[in-house]
Amino acid sequence: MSGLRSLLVFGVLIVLVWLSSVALLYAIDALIVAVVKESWARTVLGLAVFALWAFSWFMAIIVLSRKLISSWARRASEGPKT
Amino acid sequence: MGGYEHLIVLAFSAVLAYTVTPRVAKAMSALKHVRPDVHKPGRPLVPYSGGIAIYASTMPALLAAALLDTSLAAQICVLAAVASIAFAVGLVDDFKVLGGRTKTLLTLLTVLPLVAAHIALPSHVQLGRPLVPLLGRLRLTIVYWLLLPLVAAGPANVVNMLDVFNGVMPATSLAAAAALTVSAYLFEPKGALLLLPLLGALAGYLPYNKWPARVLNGDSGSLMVGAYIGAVAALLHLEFIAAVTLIPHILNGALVIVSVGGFKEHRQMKERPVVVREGFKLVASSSQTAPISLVRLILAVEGPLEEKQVAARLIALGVVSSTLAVVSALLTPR
Repeated sequence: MSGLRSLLVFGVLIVLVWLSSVALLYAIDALIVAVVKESWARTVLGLAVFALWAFSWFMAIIVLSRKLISSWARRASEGPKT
Repeated sequence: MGGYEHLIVLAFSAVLAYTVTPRVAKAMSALKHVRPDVHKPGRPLVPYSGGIAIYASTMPALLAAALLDTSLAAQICVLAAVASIAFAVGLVDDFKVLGGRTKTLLTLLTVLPLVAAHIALPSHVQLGRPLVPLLGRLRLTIVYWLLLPLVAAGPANVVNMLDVFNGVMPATSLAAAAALTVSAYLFEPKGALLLLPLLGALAGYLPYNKWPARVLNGDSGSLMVGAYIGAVAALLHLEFIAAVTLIPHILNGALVIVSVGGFKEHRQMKERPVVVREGFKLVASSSQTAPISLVRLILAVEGPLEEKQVAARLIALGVVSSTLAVVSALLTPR
């Protein structure tokens, strides 16, 4: 099972990104497209929400990456346990 | 139009790729166009620019598709033009290394055939109507055109950036192309013919690039395959589904670009994200300043792995995202 650890971690991450992208589309349609008339304002609003979603995911992944790498660096510096 | 035309195109490109690839590899060896396979003992020299074989198999199959279904001729011409531009950029880079930024900017040219065809042949090439889950067909009047330069150049570059180990590029792209083909059959069965040349070519090429590789793809292969996936997604309105199939590639690309501070060739990077240790085991770099990549994160989670094991994990992630892409297609109203 330990051999599948990275598949589990990144597989779950991919599923979460996908689920949130579907939810984002639905939210944009229900809250922006249905309420604001077609205009540049709607475009900017839609793009801003999409950018916020992408930025939030990106920051979360960067934080997760740094934690994984620090944890790995700590384990590597401790050396193999005997 | 019956299904047998689809089978003919698929089989034609697969057989062509399987036959042409060893000949391309032999020709590259004769030209001394080889690169060391750095993750193997003795760093053996392997023929480079296997992308020539993928291109040489895809283009005749596209021509065959156009002859079998002339109603798709305009879309096929666009696809061939996009793939040819990306292939040319990659081939120049394979022989004469281009800078990371130059290469990325040149791939933006792939948008030109799409825009030109949309303007000249609006009844054949319609852009800006992506299909998305739950909502169906969107009508993007402004946003789509703002993001259009990324439609083919984005996939080309992210596929290129994950082309790091034997077999990964053709196998993950094969999974992506298969997911797009299934989606195309759900929405526009005729359009699936556009994907079969790539699907067959990758299936015929993969046995030569899988571990231990007998030919390396080069940028000519990865840029062309990525651009093809992006362009066909735009032509068949499957942009969302293509983005889902490429989540691991996009994730890797974003991490690398941000951690190295822009578009840089791997040769320009001072530190490597992965270190090769004794016994040719790959280990995540523990340096705080080394680039962050998906492979480095996989190794940080699991510890030292062999090249073959890392490649298997990347391919499995490609299969996960391609499965989600098919689920997306099933959730999209028709």
